[in-house]
Amino acid sequence: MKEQVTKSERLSALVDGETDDFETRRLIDELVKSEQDRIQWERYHLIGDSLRGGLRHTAPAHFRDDIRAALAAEPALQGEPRRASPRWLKPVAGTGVAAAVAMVTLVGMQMLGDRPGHEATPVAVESGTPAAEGDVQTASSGASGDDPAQVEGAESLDPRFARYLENHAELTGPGSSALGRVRYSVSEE
Amino acid sequence: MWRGLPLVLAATAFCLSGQALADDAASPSAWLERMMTSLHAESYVGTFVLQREDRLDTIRVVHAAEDGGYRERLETLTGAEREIVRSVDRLSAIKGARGASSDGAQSPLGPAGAPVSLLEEHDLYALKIQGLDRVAGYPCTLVMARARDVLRYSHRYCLHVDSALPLLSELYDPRGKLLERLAFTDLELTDQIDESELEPTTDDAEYIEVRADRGHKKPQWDEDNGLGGWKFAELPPGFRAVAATERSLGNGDEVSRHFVLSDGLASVSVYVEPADGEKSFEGTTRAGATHAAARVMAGHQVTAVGDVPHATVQKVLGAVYYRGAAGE
Repeated sequence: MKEQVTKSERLSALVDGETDDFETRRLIDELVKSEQDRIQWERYHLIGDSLRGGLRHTAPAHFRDDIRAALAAEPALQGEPRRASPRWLKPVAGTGVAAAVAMVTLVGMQMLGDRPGHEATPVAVESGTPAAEGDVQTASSGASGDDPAQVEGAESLDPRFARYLENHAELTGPGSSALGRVRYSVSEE
Repeated sequence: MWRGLPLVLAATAFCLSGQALADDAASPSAWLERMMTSLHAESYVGTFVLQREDRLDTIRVVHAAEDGGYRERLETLTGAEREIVRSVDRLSAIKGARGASSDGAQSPLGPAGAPVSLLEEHDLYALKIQGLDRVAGYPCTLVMARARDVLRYSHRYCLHVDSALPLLSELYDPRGKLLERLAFTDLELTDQIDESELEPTTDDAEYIEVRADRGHKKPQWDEDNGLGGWKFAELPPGFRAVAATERSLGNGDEVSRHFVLSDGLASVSVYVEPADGEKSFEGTTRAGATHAAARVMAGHQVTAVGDVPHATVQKVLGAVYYRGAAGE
């Protein structure tokens, strides 16, 4: 019982962003392994979101099961069932392409060579890790005077930008472009 | 008598390897270079978590490196079921990496999203090795690239000590707030990926194929005219154009221009397309750490997207100008 209470408090702290790096990583490991913990984690988020005056658009943990149950109750569909594509991707040609296939073809490409670099204008004094440091100096001639921290939370995704974000993630994702796409895909549904 | 032997052996090894070599190989920039090379050179199967604001997603990945390109299958394990099957050929995988010559097909520095060598041209990131850690059961080296201004995010990686594969990747905003964390929870590095592992498992799998047209031509970029008359004025410090492409999207015949700008770690894409009447738009948006801004100019829709702060995307967009249709 005591362990359960402790775990709940830890998950609550994670939701509130009050865990340090080590604890966050450990909790993430535990979340991956425990369905019960994930449900609890989801519940805390819902509570937090409702307290803040809005609910996220994320489906509840049992949503998928509910849908499956509803579908099971439906009469069987008539007609030819759609089959998963066999083997690997086929070249895309013509218009009879499965809608699920996204094709990006580079018809021209050039790596740009050296040219005079821009003047670097470092503006902040080095300190410790980002998580430990205070505000970075904003006395930059390069900065426009925007407060980045305020701007960060000011907007949500405008769907008109969706394909640009996808393409950018597709080809230039940071850290790993292999994961760039999924960074966007799983988070902005 | 033997007490001093390890010291002697260590000293001998040190002399053999050479101070400079050891220093260079252990430098943060050397680690980052290795990371960029490892991203598609390694084959692996694993699970990673993506923490982003108040959301946590778990994704299984099968990644097979092939001839400089790669194939992979991604499958969400939490939230909505989603499966993505990707195939990226070599030329497309290297896009964004700065070539040593003008022939991009021959001279990639590595299959990278950002050319780390650009870091040598400025000191806008403070690079630092932060010691060893352990992620997904593997020992890894923590490398911090702390942004020295507010126009870029700070990056932190934990790189597998043998392969330099990023087992942990984090983005921090200028105030030190964590924006994104991507961490493997289990990982198997392997030389051989079974073909069946790359097969889609659901009917609803999303397919993405990125291919460089075999007959692709080199766009006519030059300092005076840019590409098709499109150029950049003063870019944010540290950023420069590293790639220019002309591309077709989907099955349409429409060709758009795509520029990739980078400061060595962060990338910003700039898309220039013929404006499409009512579909044209202006404004800004964001998705997590990714910001975008759009405007219409000279009859074209110009859109900038990057994993950089809002102000940086705006500055890049403001730097785009149309010099005239000299090349059109």
